[in-house]
Amino acid sequence: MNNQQQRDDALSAEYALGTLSGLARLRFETRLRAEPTLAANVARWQAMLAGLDSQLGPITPPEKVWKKIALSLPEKREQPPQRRYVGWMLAASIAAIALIATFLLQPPTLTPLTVLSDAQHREQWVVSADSKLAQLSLTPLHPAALTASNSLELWLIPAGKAPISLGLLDSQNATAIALKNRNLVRSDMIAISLEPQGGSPTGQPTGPVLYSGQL
Amino acid sequence: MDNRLIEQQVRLLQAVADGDRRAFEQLYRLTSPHLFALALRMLHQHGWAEEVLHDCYLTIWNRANAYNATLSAPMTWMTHIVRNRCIDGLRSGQARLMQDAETFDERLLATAEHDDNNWHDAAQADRLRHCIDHLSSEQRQSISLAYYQGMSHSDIAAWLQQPVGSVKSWIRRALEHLRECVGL
Repeated sequence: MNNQQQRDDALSAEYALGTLSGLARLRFETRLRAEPTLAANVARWQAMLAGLDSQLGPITPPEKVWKKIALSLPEKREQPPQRRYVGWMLAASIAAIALIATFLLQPPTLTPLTVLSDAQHREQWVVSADSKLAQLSLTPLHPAALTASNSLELWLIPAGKAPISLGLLDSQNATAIALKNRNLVRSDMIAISLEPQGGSPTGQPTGPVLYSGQL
Repeated sequence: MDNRLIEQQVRLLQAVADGDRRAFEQLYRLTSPHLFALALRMLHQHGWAEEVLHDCYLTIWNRANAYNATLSAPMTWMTHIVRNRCIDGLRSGQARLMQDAETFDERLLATAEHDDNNWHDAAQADRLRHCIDHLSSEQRQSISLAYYQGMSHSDIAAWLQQPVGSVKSWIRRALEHLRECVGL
């Protein structure tokens, strides 16, 4: 194995073990979709480590779990019963519609990158990203009330550089933030500051930093 | 490894990709006891494990057409979906929110070999156990905490009260050893 292969094998192993961090994992998953040899290597590691489960005794889940799954199944491309030559156009359009429907029905899966805490570790925000690293989601775990004259503003702070505003946050609910081709790296800090209503007037944080963490 | 069992699950998963609900129920009946045990072991909470199982089977239903039978057995693919979902839950701070929830009785997870737990390659699993016995105790502990509990490097460091750098190198060396020893 050359150096690159060794690095890839180490990444595959850590991915299968579950120890790749959120950001590293998302980057690796992007590569997995495009590199079949890497995917095959990961599959070998997963099959090997699955041996750790060979002594796990099965536990049948309560029947209500299946009932709930059956009720929430979305309709999916059913095979047309008879596919004759005239049926091809119909089949193709059904497939296209079903594909779009499946795409729309699937909520984007978010992977947590880090948890931002305040100094007392009482309140926390979970920072997650979608699989393409195009969007962040910020979710408060114990939402705290905010006075009407204040806003929470999210900042990305690349190492050694000035903070970049990523926008305002809803203090009570999850906020989606588009990353607009900004590349996240592990040394980036992410922080939430308390600003006057509508956000910092200067383009740089003016109020206290309430929560911060590293990616 | 029971090849017939794997072939049966591959056929079911392919039918699920075509939208066959009956095949999906059959697949659920066959595989959910294993995946549920896995989620319980990682999350320690019944309600949470049920929620994760529900979400994961919807993912399996939606993504069955992305399953590639030449890469891995269906159980390996589904195990990966469940493990990732558990890890995401554990790292999102949900564990702390659910501290007051009922605690899980570890004794439920029997460790005896089960007859119907045979999608594993028995020879490779034996080899793996043998190889794990050769790891240093720090390496073995780190691998176990990562795999069974879904802990991150820093979780393991806090648990063992050791520097993160040491944990990272124990895991790296342990995985290198396993690759050589099992013969991946």
